[in-house]
Order: sequence, then C-alpha cells, then structure tokens
Amino acid sequence: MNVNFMIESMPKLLSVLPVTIFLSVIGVIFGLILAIPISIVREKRIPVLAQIFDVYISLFRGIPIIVQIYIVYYGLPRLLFLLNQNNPGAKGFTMPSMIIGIVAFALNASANLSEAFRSAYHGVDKSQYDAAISVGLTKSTTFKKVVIPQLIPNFIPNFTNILLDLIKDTALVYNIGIVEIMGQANILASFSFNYLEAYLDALVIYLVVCFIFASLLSLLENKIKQHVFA
Amino acid sequence: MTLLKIDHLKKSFNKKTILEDVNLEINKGDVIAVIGPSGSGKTTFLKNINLLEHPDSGTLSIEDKKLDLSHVSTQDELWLRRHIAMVFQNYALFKNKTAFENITTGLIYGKHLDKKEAAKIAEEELKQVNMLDKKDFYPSQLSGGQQQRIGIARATALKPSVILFDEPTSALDPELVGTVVDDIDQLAKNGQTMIVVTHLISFAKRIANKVIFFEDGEILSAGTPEEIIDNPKNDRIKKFLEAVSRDK
Repeated sequence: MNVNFMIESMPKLLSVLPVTIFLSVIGVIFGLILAIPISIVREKRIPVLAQIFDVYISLFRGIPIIVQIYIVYYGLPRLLFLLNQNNPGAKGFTMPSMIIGIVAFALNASANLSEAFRSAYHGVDKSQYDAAISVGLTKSTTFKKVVIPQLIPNFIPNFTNILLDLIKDTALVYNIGIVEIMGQANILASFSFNYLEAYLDALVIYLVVCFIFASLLSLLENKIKQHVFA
Repeated sequence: MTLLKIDHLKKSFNKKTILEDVNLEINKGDVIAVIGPSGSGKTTFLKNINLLEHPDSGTLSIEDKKLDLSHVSTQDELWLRRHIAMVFQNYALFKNKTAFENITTGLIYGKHLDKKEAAKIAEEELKQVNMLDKKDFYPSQLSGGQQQRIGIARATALKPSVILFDEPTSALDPELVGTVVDDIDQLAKNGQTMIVVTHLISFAKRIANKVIFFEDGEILSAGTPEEIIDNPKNDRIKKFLEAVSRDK
C-alpha cells in the first residue's frame, strides 16, 4: 500500500469537498422547498395535483438516482428547448453540469422529504390538533403553535438519513462530469494506478463528513426536543 | 332558562349513520350525564357540538345565536368554541407546552387576551385545581390525574357557557379518578353547565341533574338520574346498567 500517495492525495481530494457539500446541501434545500407544498397537496388530497404528486413520488422513490441524474442530464436541456421552440432565436440548450446535478438531487430529495414530512406530521397525535381547535385557535395558529413545533423533532431523524444519502450519492455525479470527491479520486488513481489508496482517502472523507453532519443534526434534534418538550 | 338547544342533529360517515336526529335542550347550570354502550355515538355527539366534527344537518342555539350546523362559517366556528369548551378523554394537553402555557394558549390566541391577563387567569385556574406548583411542568412530567386537572383548568379558563367532558376519567388509574371527579363535582356545584360523557354510573348519578342514554346514535331515553339510573323503565337501559354493575 502506498501510504505516501494517500497522504499526498488527501489535500487534492479535500480541495473538491466543497463541491460535494454544495451539491448535497443546495439539493436538500431546494428539495425541502419543493417537499413542503407537495406534502400539503397530498395531505389535503387536492384533486388532480395530489394524484400527480403520488405518481411523482412513486417514480422518484422507485428509480435509482443514477438513472434520475441521466434523465435530467439528457432530458432537461431538451425539455427547455421544446418549451422555448416558439422563440425564433431559440438554439439547442446546454446546461452546466452543476445545475443538472442540483436539479436531479432536489427532485430526488423532494420526493423523499415529502414522505418524511408526512410521517412526521402523522406522528403528531390528532388530539393535539383537536385540543388546539377546541380552545379557539384557528387552523393556521394551531399549526404554528402546536403541530409544527411537535412535527420538527419527528422530522429530523428522517431528514438526517436523506441528507446523508444525498452526500453519499454525490459520488455518482462524476458520471455527468462534475468533479467531486469520487471524481477526483478516480482522476488521481488513474494517473498512478493507486486505486485502493485513492478510494481509501475518499472513504475517510465521506465517513468524516457524514459523521459530522449526523452529529450536528442529532445535536439539533436534542436541542429542539429539549426546547419543545422540556 | 334554556342555554343550549340542539335540534335534529344528524351525522353520517361513509354512508353509516352515526347520529340520528339528536335533540337536546339544556338549561343554565344543568349537568347532563351521557351514558350508553361503546360505539353508540356519545363522543361523536360531543365533537359535533363544538364542531370538531361537522354535522350533516341540524341547528344549535346558544346565547341568542342560532347556527345552521350544516353551513357554519369559520367565524361562527371560532365564536362557538369560545362558548363551548372541551375536556378530552386522553387529556390532549399540548405536549410542547408547560401546564401554564397549556392554559394561556387558548386565552392568548383564541380569546385574544393580552399575555398579562392570560397569565393572571391561568394562575387562578391552576390554584383552583391545586396545580400551581406544577405550572412549569410539561405534560410528560405529570401523572394522568394531574394532566386531566390541567385539561379541566384549560377549559374553565376560557369561561365557557358549556363544558363538554369526553369520558374524563376513563384513561386514569383507578386511584386517580377521585381527584378528577371531585374537581368536576366542584364545577357542578359552582353552577357550571356541563355535558359529561361517562361510563362511571356512580359519577353520573353524583353530578348530573339529567341523564341521557345513547344507543345507535340517538337518545333512547332522557330523565333525572332517579328515572334513568335508579328506576329505569326501558329494558335496554336495565340490561346496560346490569352489565356495567357486573363489570365493577
């Protein structure tokens, strides 16, 4: 085993760590933004939209993320081109891979996060809602003061799992040309044929990053639980 | 003097009739005990009165206001809940709030009182149920009996015209039932109008001036505790009371 290679490669791998973190964190933020209305529509069973989102969620939860990345990579520019066809100056669309990656991750995260929201919401006893309504709170105040504060601690463990999955899944975006940790490890290894060493470096980085995020979110969960439930 | 009048209340769910033409008239200071077998619609009846569930039809008159229960505006719903409070079987205290906040929440966000006034009322109510020393405790830190007493304080703090009790003692350990029963009894003595769904026949007899027997979503019989509990004429009620006393 070439330990020197591992030591020398580590800073080069760490230099692309921001790409991994940026992609997963921005993906999860956009995923959250999409997941909230999806959850509300599905929970209220708003006709047509609820059925569309049911299919959307089944699709995104039932297809490997690498397939989703490829579909967005090849499909999104074409879709934008079709939508823009009436514009006389329209040309073929090319999109930065990073945008493609964020879109794919956000769509994937939104499906999983909306399910996490749903389970967190159902984890709040219905009688809490009834009690709040019965003391004269409006529906929106009930959600703000009673339901949401109790829903958040239920939500965080699933959110942590989804974020950690996204961090690990960033290893796949090398396939569409984004150089993140896995991509960088591949490049470094292919120059020197030190594949095992390069991947061991990547393993350490993924492990440490996931450990840090899991610990931070667990800390946040405990803090919120203390604040919410004493 | 009639305080609350319910006419032709009907409720069905998935084409199954849950409440069949329920009529009830309550005077100020009345304590109505609702008894009957499980699944007869007692809880649904209470939930339809303060619109936690929405009736299919019927009218409700309270404080010179008559509401068509099939079309109640949000404004009227909020108005109604300021006059009819509810105490739940499983206490349903807000888990994310202290005993004190459980009481002030409805006062501040439901009745729109300022925080100082709400705090004053909450302290008075906690004193009333001997729970002032537990004001900063969360529900998870309280026993079932203590939680139910906070539940009662939360309802009385709203100074409602009527309080609905949904089996307030059935989730309690037998040794904790007494204190909650005493609190409700005290309310009755203070002239609070109440409708109490209960399985405790002795409790019903102790607090109520009128008993109604529910079966299959309708009032099978109504009368004084002496008429319904001590000298039931209806065979079905006799059978029910026999079964209840056997279970004891």
